[in-house]
Amino acid sequence: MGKLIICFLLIGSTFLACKKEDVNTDKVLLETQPTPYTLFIPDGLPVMVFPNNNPLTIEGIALGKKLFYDPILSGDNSISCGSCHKQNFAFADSSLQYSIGINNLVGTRNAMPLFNLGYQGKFFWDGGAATLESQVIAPIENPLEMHENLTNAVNELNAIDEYKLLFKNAFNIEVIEIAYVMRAIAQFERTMISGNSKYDKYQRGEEGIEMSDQELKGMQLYVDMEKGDCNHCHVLGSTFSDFVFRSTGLDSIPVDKGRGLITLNTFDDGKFKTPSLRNIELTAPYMHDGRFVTLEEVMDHYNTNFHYTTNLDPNLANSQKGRMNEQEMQDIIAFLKTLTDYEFINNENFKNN
Amino acid sequence: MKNLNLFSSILLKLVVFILLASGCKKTEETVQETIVKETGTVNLSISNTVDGIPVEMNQLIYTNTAGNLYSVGLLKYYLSNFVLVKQDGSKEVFNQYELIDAELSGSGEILLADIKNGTYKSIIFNIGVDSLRNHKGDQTGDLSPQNGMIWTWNTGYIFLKHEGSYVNSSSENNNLMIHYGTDVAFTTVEVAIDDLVIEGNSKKLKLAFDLNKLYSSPNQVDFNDDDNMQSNGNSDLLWISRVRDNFNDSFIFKGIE
Repeated sequence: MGKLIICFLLIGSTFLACKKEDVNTDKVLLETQPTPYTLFIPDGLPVMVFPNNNPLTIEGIALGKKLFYDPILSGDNSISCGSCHKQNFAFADSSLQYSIGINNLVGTRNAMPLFNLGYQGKFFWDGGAATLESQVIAPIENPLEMHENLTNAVNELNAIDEYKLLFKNAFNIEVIEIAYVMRAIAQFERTMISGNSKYDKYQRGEEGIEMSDQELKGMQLYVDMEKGDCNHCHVLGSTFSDFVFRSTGLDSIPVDKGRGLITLNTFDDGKFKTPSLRNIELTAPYMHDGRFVTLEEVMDHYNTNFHYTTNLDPNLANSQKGRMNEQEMQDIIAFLKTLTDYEFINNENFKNN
Repeated sequence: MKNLNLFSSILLKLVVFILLASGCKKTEETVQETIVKETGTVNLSISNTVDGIPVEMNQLIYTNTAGNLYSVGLLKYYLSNFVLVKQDGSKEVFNQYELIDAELSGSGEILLADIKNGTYKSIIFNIGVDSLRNHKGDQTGDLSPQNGMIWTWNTGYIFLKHEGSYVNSSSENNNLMIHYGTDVAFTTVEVAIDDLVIEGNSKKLKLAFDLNKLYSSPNQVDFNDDDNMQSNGNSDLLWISRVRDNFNDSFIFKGIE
């Protein structure tokens, strides 16, 4: 009888021994995952596609926002991304032509505003950054901007328990690497959606939203190929840009080669990314080098002052100089001001807190 | 009771037999592997040399065929996507990206695992990072931007970095900076090797990367023409193509152990 019991015990323990390993394997797979986040896109903007290796999560976005406003990413811990990308200017840099980095060094191009970035393929005025994630490290390393060594930045973050926990929660990692800093900031930036301007609300037929006669006239002139002809590049509605690189004839010989510096193709010399016209009222000065202080100067450029350069955009090359009068240009400016999104610049989700 | 005793005795023997014969599945696999192994490993070992002698860092003692006396303060480069080619032309492919740093012992030791048994006659690999991975900065490990081998203003990896000093034609000591990269710089080399026989075992395959070959064979590079080669202008396309064509001769088979 005793032997029989031993037999059953042996059989049982054999199964148990094998099963125990399986249980352990299951445990490894049951790690906590970050919480997926569904981004709300207002009517009028297209569907946004996210990179497979960097989907939005609540933990990732919150971490990205903290990093965006943390001067720890600069060489002397004095400035953050938010120092030159300010929410009340649609995340452009106040009225400065060129932003000022650590050690008071001055940049070479006008800081771009930040919104609706998930619709764009390449970043910077010249498109040098291939992805939004890749963009993140350029201003961190640039000697004229935050001038920080990436290894230093990561070492500083790894020395802070709070950051180690936040990175673990967002990406399930024990040691912080710069790749995850890039992903977190890109996640936060993709949530910066601007689509609630007066124009958007008018298009959606929201109650109590009226556009003045001048604003409506301006919209008509915006698409009129004999007048503003803005629509070819800054497509009306949606993102208000096709983000293509173009020369707008700013100089007879380009001072800054722009896109040409990236592609090494002379065909691209003097070309820059067509920016969105959303929030344009807030993002002065204008052009890649911030040469124009007012929208009136910009209108004068497109109406009469542009140069017939080698790579001048064909739409502009075929436009009649002086095709608009003062009133028509004022009407277009009135329309452009309906693209200011006050909800965006006051959105608590993007504020430094 | 006697019958029961006999029954339990048989049952015990049966259980012991089953345990021995089957056991847990894991044990079974281990037993099988030691009997027949269909794959082996290659420890690829790459040494960094100048004229066949291992590189000494920060010594102004090397002379290239253009007559430039120069030093190596930093030498780092990417090798990727290794391929071992069998006698019959069939290939074993390893999708790996490896950063070699001449200053770090062990960085040239690359493990190629699970290689099918057979006789291999050459190794193929790329210099740099292929265009799929070259324009994507948020990567980890050897491709992490923390390695200082990426241009951030124009997303792309620096395939090879040689920094140091040299004595220019006016006998002055100048800085030397060679940052080789961009998609046009990407290239593939094939190195013929003695018969590398894999029969479930581990072999060491030794190659040398020779810096003076990189600056001479077949195209001579004179640092006096350009001592700050950054791969960021139209004029750089010429030196990039000249250096690119020198990589094949720069990797030399050194033996199998």
